[in-house]
Amino acid sequence: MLELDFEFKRAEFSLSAKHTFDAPITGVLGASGSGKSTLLALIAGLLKPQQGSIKLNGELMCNCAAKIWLPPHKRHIGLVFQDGQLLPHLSVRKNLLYGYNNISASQRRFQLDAVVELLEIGNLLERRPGTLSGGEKQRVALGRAVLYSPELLLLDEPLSALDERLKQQILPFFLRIYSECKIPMVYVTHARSELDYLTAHYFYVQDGKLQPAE
Amino acid sequence: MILTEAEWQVLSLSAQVGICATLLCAIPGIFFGWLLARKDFFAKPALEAILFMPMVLPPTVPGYLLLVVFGSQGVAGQWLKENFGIELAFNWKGAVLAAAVIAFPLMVQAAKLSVQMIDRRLESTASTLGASPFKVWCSVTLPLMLPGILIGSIMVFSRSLGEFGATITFVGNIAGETRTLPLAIYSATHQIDGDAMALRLICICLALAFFSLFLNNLLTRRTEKWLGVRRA
Amino acid sequence: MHAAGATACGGCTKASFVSLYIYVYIGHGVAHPNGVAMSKIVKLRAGVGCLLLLLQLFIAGSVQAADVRVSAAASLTDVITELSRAYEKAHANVLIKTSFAGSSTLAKQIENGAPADIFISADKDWADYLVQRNLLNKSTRIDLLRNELVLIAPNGRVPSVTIAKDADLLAAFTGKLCTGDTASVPVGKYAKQALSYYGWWDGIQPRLVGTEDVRTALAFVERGECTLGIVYKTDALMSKKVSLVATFPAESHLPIVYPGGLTKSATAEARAFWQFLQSPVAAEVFVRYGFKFAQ
Repeated sequence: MLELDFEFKRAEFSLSAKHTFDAPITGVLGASGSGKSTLLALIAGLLKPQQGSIKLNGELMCNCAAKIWLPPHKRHIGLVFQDGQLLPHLSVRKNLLYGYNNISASQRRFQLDAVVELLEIGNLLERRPGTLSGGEKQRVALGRAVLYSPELLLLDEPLSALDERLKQQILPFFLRIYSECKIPMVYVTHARSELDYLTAHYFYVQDGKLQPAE
Repeated sequence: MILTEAEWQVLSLSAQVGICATLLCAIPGIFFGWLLARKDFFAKPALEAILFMPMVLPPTVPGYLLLVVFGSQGVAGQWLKENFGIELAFNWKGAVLAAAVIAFPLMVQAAKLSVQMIDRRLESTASTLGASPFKVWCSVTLPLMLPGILIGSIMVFSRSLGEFGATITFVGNIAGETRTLPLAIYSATHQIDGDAMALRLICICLALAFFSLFLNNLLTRRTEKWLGVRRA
Repeated sequence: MHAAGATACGGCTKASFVSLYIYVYIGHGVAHPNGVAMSKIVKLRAGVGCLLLLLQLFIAGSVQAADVRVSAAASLTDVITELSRAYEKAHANVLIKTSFAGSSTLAKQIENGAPADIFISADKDWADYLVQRNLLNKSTRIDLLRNELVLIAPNGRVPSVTIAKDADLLAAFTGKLCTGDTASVPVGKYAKQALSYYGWWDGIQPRLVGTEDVRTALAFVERGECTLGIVYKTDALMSKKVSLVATFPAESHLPIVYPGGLTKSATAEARAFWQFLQSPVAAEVFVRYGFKFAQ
C-alpha cells in the first residue's frame, strides 16, 4: 500500500498528490508533460518533494517535516522505463541479475530460471542489449526489476515505444507478473486502452494534481 | 632502421615520461571530468577556466610557474624533498610533472565528454535496483566512460611526447634525464653536424605519432564494441 | 625575421584601420541619402580599393630602409642594448633591432634565412660556420672582444672551491653545476675545456645542467636551482644575485673571443654601426661592462 501526501514544484511545474494506492495494479493516466513520470520519480526517490510524505507498506520513504529521506537504492522500489534502460556493457543475464545481486539471499523471492521462463527470454541470456528488439528489451527490463524482489513496481510508459502488435503480445506478461509474483504495480501511460486491459483502478494527472478516476 | 644507443635513450626516456604523465593525469582527470559533467556549484565556471588554462597559455608559463613552486627553492619542492626525498628539478620526474600539467586538460575534456554521453537514466535505473551511489559509479559510470578515458590517455601520452616549452623551462635539457624527443631534436639542430641526427629523430617522432593514433583508433573501436555502444 | 614581422604588423594595423574607415564611410555615405541599400558595384569598388591600400601598406611596411638588425651572443645583451640606444640617439633615422640568444641558435637561424645584418658570436666555431657557408662577409670579420670564464654561486651560499690541478671540485659542493650546453653553446664548450683541464670533466657529468645560452645558466644560479655555475665574467658582474667564486685561468681553455662581422645583406647603415662598435666610444662602454678588447 502506497500512501502519498506531498507537494512538488520545479520552475513552472508543480505536482500535488494526496491519495493511497492499494490496488494490485494502479493505473496513472495523463497527457505528455502532465507529470506522470515525475510522480514515479518522486515515489522512487529520484526526486525530492518540497513538502509532505511518502509511505510504502507503513514504512516512511520520505517525510519533509521530519527531514527523513530514504535514497532510491534503499527503497526497494523497482522502476521500468519506457526504453528499458538496459546496461549496454552487460549481457542480458548480467542485466537480469543486477538488482538480484544487490539484495541478500533472504530477500530474494524469485529465481532467475523462473522469471526467465515466465517472460520467455531464455534464448536471449547471453546476448547484448544492443542486439535486442524493443519488445525483448522491455521483457528483460521487466524481468530485471522483478528479480530485485521489489515491494512496488513502477512502470513508466513501458509499451509506448512498441507497435500495436507487440503491445498486445507483452501486455499479458504484466498480468502474469502480478498473478505469479504478487508484486503491486503502478502503471503510468497515456494510452487508455492499455489500462483497460490491466486494471479498473486508475488516477489522472491533470493540472498538477493527482485525481482519482470517477 | 637500427637506432643508435643515444637514440634509444631518448626514445625510452620519452616513453617513460609519457607513460608516467598519463598515469599521473588519469585519476584527477577522470575525477574533474566527472565533476564538471555531473555537478553544478557556485565556483564551477572558475574551476573550469583554471583546469583548462594550460591549454591556452604558452607552455613556458606553466613551465616557469612549476619552477617557482616545485624547484629546489620552491615551497612545494622543498616540502617534497624534506618529507619524501623527491627532487623534481633537472630530472625526469620533473619532466613527467611538466608534461602532465600541460596535457591535463586533454584528459579532463575527454572524461567530461564521455560522462556527458552517458544517459543519466541508466544511473537512475541502477540506483533503483539497489546500487549505492558508489556502486553505480563503479558498475555503470566508469565502464561506460572507458572509451573516453582511453582516448584521453592516448591524447595525454601523445601530447607528452611532444612537450617542449614547459619541459625545457622547468627541468632543462639534460641528456639522459630530461632530453625527451622534442628536446633532442632541438639540440641536434643546434649542433654543427647535427642535421642528420635531427632527421633521424624526426622520423622516430613521426613513426611514434602515427603508431599512437593508430592504436587509439583500434582500441577505441574494440572497447566500444565490448561495451555494446558502437557508434555508427 | 622578428624585425620585418613587427614592422609589417604595425603597417598592417594602420592599414586595416584606414581601410575599415574608408569602407564604412563610403558605404555609409552611399547608403544614407535614400536609405536604400548600397549598390553592389559601389561596395565592390570600395572593397577592392581597401584591399589595394592594405597591400601597398603591407609591402611598403615590411622593410624600412634605416633598420639595422644585430644577432649577438646572449652575454652581450646588456652592453649591445646600451650601445644601440646611444647610437640611435645620435642618429635620428636609424633603428637598431637586436636578437640575443646562444650563438649556436643564432647561427642556425641565419643559416635558415633569418634576416641579420651583423652577427657577433661568442666563439670562433660559429663565426667560421657562417663564413664557410658564405653567410658572413669574410672581409668584415674581426675579433671584437675578449672575456674570461668564471665560477659563480648564488649569493650567501658560496662553497669554498679552489681552481687548481689537485683540488677536488666534486667534493667541494653539493647539487648541480650549470653552464651552457657543452656540445654547442660557446660558454659550455669553454666550460668543458676548463673542466677537462683540471680532470673534473668525467666526474661532473651526472651533475651538469646544460642550457641554451649563458643567461639561462646565470638565471638558474640566481634562482638557487644550481649550486654552481660557469659563466662569463661579464655576466657575473652584471648580476646582483650571484657571487664570483673563482676565475678560470686563461690556459685552461681556448681564448674566449667574440668574432663578429657583416652578413651578405648588410646595408650601409649596418656597416656604419659595425664601425661604431669598433670605435673608442664603444670601447669605453665594453670595458665598463668587464669586456676586454680583442684588438
